Amino acid sequence: MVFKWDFVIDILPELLKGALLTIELTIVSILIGIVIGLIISIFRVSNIRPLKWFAKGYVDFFRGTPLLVQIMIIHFALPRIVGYVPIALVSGIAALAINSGAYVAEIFRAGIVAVNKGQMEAARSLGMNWSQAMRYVILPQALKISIPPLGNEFIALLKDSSLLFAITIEELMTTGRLIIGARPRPTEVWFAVAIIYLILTQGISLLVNWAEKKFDTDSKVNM
Amino acid sequence: MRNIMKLAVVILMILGLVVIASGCGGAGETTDINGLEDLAGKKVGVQANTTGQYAAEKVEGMKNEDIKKYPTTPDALMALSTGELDAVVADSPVVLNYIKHNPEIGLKTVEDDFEKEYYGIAVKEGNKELMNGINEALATIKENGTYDKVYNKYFGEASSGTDFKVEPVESDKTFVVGTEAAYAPFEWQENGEITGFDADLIQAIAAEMGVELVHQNVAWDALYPSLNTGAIDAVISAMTITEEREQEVDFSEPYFEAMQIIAIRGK
Repeated sequence: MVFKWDFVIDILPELLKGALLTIELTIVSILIGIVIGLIISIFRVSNIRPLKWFAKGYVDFFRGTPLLVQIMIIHFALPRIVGYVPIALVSGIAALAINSGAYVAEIFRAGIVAVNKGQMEAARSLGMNWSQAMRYVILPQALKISIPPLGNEFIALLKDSSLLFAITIEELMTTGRLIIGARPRPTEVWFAVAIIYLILTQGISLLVNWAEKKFDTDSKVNM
Repeated sequence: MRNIMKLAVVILMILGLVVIASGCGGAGETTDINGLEDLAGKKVGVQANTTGQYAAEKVEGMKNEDIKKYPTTPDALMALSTGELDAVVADSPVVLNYIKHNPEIGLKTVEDDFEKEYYGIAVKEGNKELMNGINEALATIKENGTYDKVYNKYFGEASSGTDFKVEPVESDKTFVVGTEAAYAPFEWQENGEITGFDADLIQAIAAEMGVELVHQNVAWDALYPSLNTGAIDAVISAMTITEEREQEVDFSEPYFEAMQIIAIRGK
């Protein structure tokens, strides 16, 4: 069995079309996931009990059940109870964003907890209330600490988007499966798909490194 | 703190509304699909890489992005019942069986003059010895009445009434067969075992060949690759013999005649 390079060239446009959808899905899900994660993490560190419990339950559920099961629940199970008509793209983005939100919430919480307690006390003693101290003093520091683990989470999210084959979204993984259905050359298809995923995840790594440097205020002070 | 809370509640509500609004309307009965040509412009579900997909792609005016390719046929039928799809094109025995056993799901069928299809057992290209063995065994069980007994068990007048079963043979020679077991009445999993028409038929063929059957559940898309890597010796999975597929694998003599059918919502 030989590796046919011209077959790879043939299927490349189709794969890139799938990769484009993978990128779009990832970006939209990351953005919504960050919003959810921020809200849930603030709930989690707040002093209001019900919000704390809600946040804990949210994280426990979405981190403690497989993403594929969550996709199936959102796309197949809930519509039969709630009565909405599911749209594959909406179900897919919702599942990725809600799931990612749970992980992002824990990353932000770790960041918030890592900020020295004295910072909050100092801010409060300057006359700021809790939310002001959170917004102007704690969160900017916490978010900076959160950048490297966030990068990990985004890479995981991009790879997890491959599970959306289950609900017919034709992203990179599904595109590969559909090509193999018609032209069964798994060697070429799966190596090509793997390399495209690798390029995409490396892209995220570079972005995260850049962001880390940009927000790295400590070393600038030291210089 | 208040402001952040307010903002949070508002964002959560908007997210919730977007999800709900995107799907409002409910899944009503389909009324305007009476045949293949009515599928153009509709959302049509199929199982990926099946003759159902190919039939849908041939419909004039059908857009590729409107054909939703699910990993299994039951998934596509479920998506039809929730309203995501307007119709499903799939093998008629499977759709009819699904509707018969799941009446609460509210589906019905529309027929059209689809081409007849013939299922075959696939082996790796060039594996003449195994192919001959399978064809001979198939011919024998068709002659001696075993085939009819298996057929009547699943498709006869009083189907499910018979409990005909072929006793497995024990042998040093194993015969590893792959099947995508989400395709009743041809194959489904029951108590961890693959059962159904194909399962009984391949058991009868294996018994005739004097080899021990090892029956494995393999995803539809992984069936050819598994044949080619040698992970399995043969495929029996309600697989229609097509020209394209014959370029990749070798097929036995046909063992079943089937047709596509359109499933829509309605009682």
